Amino acid sequence: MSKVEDMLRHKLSPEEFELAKQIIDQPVFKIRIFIQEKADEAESK
Amino acid sequence: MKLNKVDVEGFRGLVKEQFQLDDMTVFHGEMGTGKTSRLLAILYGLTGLAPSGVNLDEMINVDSDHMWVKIEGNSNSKPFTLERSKRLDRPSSSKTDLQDAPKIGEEIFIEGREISRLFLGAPTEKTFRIDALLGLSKYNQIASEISTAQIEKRIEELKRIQKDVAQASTVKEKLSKAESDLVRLTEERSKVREELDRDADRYQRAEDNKRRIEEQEKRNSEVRSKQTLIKSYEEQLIVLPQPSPELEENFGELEKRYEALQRRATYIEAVMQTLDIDGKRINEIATCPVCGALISSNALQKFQHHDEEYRHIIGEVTQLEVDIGSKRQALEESKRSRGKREMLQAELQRLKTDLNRISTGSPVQPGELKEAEDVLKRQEELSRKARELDIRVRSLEEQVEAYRALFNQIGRMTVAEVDAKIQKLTKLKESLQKIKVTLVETLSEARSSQLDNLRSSFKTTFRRIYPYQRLKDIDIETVSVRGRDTIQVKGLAGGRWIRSNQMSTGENVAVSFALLFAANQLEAAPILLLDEPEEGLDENGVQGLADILNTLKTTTQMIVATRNTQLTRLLSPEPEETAVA
Repeated sequence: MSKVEDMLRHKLSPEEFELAKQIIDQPVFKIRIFIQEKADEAESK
Repeated sequence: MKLNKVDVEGFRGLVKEQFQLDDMTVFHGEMGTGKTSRLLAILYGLTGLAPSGVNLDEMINVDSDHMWVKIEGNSNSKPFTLERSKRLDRPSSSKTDLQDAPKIGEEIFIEGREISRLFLGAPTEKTFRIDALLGLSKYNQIASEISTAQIEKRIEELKRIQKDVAQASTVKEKLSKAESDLVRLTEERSKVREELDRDADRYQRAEDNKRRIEEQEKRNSEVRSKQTLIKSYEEQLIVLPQPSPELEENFGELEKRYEALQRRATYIEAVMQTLDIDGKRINEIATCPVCGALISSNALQKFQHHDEEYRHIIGEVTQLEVDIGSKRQALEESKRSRGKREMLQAELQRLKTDLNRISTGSPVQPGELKEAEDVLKRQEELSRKARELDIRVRSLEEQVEAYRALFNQIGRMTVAEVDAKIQKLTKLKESLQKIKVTLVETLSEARSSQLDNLRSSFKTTFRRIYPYQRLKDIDIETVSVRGRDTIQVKGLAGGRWIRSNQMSTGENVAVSFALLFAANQLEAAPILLLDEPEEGLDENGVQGLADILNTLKTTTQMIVATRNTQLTRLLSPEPEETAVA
């Protein structure tokens, strides 16, 4: 985990950090698609 | 990650090569022996890239139409192979069993002759390079990619649906009414159509009758018109004067008598004119050419009977002219009357013939036309009603379909369900917004913190590469250029701070390497490919550079290409010697 990610971990809730980590681990060009998928997932639950 | 072995074919000057790699590998040799090609082959094998500004096809050996690189190594204690190849004018292809590969970009390739220019570019470029060195640039990109616009749009859409869902009972009532109206109107339309179909023969008969009656009426009207004309012509014939054949005969005789007298008078005039010519010819004529009597010198007296006859003729001609004149007008009137009579008689004949030809047909019964018209009027009313019902039924069908679609969309949801969706999306939106804001703040803090760490490491490293006194001290500072935080390097020379563009090339190399290695200590790259890094450094600088590289090799695999014997000796007891094949 990079220092930036470590700092983020302390500032965000565990759920938020989990989401942030998933975004950070995406290729940059796939981030918007990933966010849309998360939105679809949230709506369908 | 550690690379162990590389196989290369058709890459720049390397026809077919294999070389081993260690924590510190040094390729040593003269110019043109393939040192840089080995570094670039590793760069291509790992990333599929060539250095900026170089076309990949230019990397293919001039005697070959393809290049191939195979790398073997270990990642997370597991062996892996990575193969990459490319044919001229074709895209690269690759295959590997490497999983969770670290993100490696072209920045791992560092040319010594370029390093001195690291801080001579535009301010924005410096920022980019420094952020890249600090490992922060990808977080900048991530922060800019986090957007909640689509989620906000969907939330608005759901809010609209929520309102519709709340009105679902109204929609259901409207749908129910529209469906019942549709059934009623469809039945009504069926009845109208049935009646139209059932009475089709009756309507046809009524139409035929109406046409027949109208034609009969037309014929009767024509007969009446012709009979009126006949009556009028016959009345005209009665009052028309009768022609007089005696008058015409008498008039003919008068004309014949008149013409005979004219001819006789003309003859006598000619004779008398002959006898009257200067008296000379009279002596030459022995007898009268008319009566044969002997002509004497006083012949005029002897032919006096001609004069008397002439006078008598003239008198009679004059009387005839009066008679003829008086009878000519009566004769012309008689002729006109006869012509008109003949014309009226011919017209009467034609009219009577026409009347005989016109078929009178069966007589029209009183009320027959009205009955046919009433039937046809009923047919027209029913047809118009059927058309109106068609339009209303179609409209209702569309209405029912629209209500059903709307009801299908919202009828299955409850207000609470839609509200739950909105809540979840709102929570996701808020989380993303918080992540974005926090990431930007953290980046700023990380940059500031890392710069503090970088500063001390930078100063120490610089001193090891640069054991001289012209620059008493160096430092870095952040400057805002066009709204972006940029980093500028400064050195203390002669009691005042100078910028990198006021430093010598060697000083810039030392500054650049010091910053590069200091940054690498903060965020270690898995591998660095250094091409003649000693460029611009003197013996002391090379010594310091070797010390730093030997330190870094514990965290980063170092692969160095150099012509410098001193650097080679300091870095590796067993360098990979390169030579022209």
